[in-house]
Amino acid sequence: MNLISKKKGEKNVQDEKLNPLSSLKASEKRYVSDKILNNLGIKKEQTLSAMKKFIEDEIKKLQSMSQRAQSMAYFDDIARYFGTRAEEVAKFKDAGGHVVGSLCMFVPNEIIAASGALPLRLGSGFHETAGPANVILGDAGLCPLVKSTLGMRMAACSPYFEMCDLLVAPTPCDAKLKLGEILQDFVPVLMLNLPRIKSGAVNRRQWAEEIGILMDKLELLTGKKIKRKDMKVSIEKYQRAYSAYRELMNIRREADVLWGRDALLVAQLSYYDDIERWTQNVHKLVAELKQMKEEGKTIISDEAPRIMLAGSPIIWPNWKIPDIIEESDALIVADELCSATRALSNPVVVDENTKRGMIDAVIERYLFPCTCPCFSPNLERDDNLLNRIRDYKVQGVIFHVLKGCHLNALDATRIKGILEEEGIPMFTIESEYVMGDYQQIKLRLEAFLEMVRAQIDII
Amino acid sequence: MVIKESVNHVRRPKISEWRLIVNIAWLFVINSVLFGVFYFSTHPLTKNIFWPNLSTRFIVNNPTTSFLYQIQSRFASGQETYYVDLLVPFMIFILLVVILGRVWCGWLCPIGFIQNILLRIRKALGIPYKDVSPKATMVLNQMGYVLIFLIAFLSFAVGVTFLGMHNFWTKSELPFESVAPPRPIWIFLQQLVGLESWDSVIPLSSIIVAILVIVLSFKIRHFWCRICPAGALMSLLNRRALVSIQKDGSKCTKCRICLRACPMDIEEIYEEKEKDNVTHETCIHCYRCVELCPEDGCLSVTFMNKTIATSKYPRAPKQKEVVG
Repeated sequence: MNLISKKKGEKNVQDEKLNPLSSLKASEKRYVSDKILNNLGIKKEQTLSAMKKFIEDEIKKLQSMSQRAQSMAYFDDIARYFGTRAEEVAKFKDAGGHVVGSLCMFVPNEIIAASGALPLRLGSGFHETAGPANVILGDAGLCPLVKSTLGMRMAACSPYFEMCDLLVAPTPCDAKLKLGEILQDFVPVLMLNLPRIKSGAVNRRQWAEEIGILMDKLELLTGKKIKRKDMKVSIEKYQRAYSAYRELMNIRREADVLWGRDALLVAQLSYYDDIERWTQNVHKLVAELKQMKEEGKTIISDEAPRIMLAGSPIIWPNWKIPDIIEESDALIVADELCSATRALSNPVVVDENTKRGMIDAVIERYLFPCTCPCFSPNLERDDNLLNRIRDYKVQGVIFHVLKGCHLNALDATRIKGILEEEGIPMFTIESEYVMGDYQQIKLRLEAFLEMVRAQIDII
Repeated sequence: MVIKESVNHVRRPKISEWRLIVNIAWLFVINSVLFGVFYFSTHPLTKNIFWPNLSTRFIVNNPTTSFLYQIQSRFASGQETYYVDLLVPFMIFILLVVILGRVWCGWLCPIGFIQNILLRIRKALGIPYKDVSPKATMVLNQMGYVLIFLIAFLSFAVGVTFLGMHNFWTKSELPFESVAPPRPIWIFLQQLVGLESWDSVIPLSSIIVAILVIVLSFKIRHFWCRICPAGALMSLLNRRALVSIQKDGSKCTKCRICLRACPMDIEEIYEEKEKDNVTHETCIHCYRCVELCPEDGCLSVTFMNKTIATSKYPRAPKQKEVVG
């Protein structure tokens, strides 16, 4: 199809009606009309400065941690959401590059990267932007991650959101389903129908077709066919990234040299950082941590409770819960959050280097080993948790449930029973993005950590 | 092939490479005469050597036969012996298969080797394989038993003279030999080397079968292994063999890599969560699943309860140096 001219420079003057991507966009705003937006009276500048301040405060908190690795400086820099990385992406975009955003960890980055576009994961962790979304959503109990992400686009506060040519929205839960739908008022959105019953061949076929549609759209967007070599290069790029993160996990397992908050941040920045540079810096960090381990340095006393974070995603800079845990002299040694380890722990394993073989490897990796609570059955999650608890010598599990994340709340009930049998204390904590519940959460978490400490003393 | 434990620098079992080496080495051993390396045919003890897998006796100096040939020739030689002479080959067959299972197919069979090579060529060319549905896989696997029945029955009928079947098949031309794919392949190879004259008789049917097998095996992974009658016989003992694939169900993430990698489309290794021994009847022990499984210690190959190879998290591909 020659609907998109392949010549440079002609891209901007193309007839919008001929652009097949425009068919994705709703012709009129169904949820968020201009009138509503104007009536909301969003103060963009104020929100932006509040967001920037929030990030700076968080980074300061991180920098004040004792014995912190030097290599984290790079990650602090990237963690400034509006900083260098935003400028880089803007430059990439100006040079004719395409930016494809995604709202969930089910979107195969390898395929987006193979098409030549830049994959960015756009879940938001800012509580400042949840306000405007609250007005139109009409459901105060909705997941704050979704509210914040929608508000981010409504207030036009995210530089990455503004640069998106296409937004890929998988539908793991109700909130994300409607988020994708509402965002069509702003950006072209491709919804991916995620099969939620992992029973085998049928779901695989369905998911493969969904990803096939994504590939077609990407090829139309970039005007370039995804070739076998492109796939190979991009898969290897991400394999290196997964492997680097794995090494980071290994060193965390061997010695207490990395703060959990730092590990969460490193994982999180793979969302929108240049993946190759990110990999190199993870290697640097690992090398430094190895040195620390050899010198016998530890960041926290051995008596500190070893905590594992599980449950709903914790997205930068919403570091409320990790902050509370680690400021109360406990160490997050492991996590199974889809915003961190879960997104990076399963490698893409290619059996045959044919194009189809590689695509199969990618699509299966993004669906089947995932232990998102949206799946049924989801027994692998229990095994996964238990294995991690064993590997990292976890002494207590804090199961984080974002308010309105019913799926995680339901899984928490099951997992609590399983962990009880193993003698591992688990605490389910429900939280919002807003800072209003800070003191209450702090009180409850500290009580739990005290209990874990007491249990360690008994043993 | 002992894999050393190392946490940070994880080495993966390179089973595919080992398999290719063993395949080639065994080819030299059993068909050694073909390459003029050495003989083992003159001594009476080694004269009648046979393997459980598909072999051929049409090798000029040094015929090796398969258990299938033993069945056919003993049955075809008539009822006077009451088929007691089948007992010894049968026991040798059971012994060999109990020790190695269908390792005979994946690692030691010349036809298995040809299919391995075809699979590698296809991979290198970047051509995707043809998917075989679970139903078709099942039907193909049953084909082997049908063939076994036909082979045994027809040989038996040849032996029993009053049926008159010996007019069609004789002892020098047994039923399966007119369709067996190894025969034309080896004769052709020997003709190329100059060991066999170009006017030696090859039944047209076996040439057609051989070409079909080669073409289908190119597109369908290990096509012949799915319908092989010798393989079907070995399948009966495959689960009880001393070599087995073991699985630690608690480490499995159900990522389907083992299922995608399996050239025989075996679903059991992927599905199984409880049992330890996941060696399937049709498993040809290529251990591609063990090689590719990314979970440390989830799948492993054991021989008499000793672990030979274990699955490991993959090593990252090397970064190519960027010029400029």
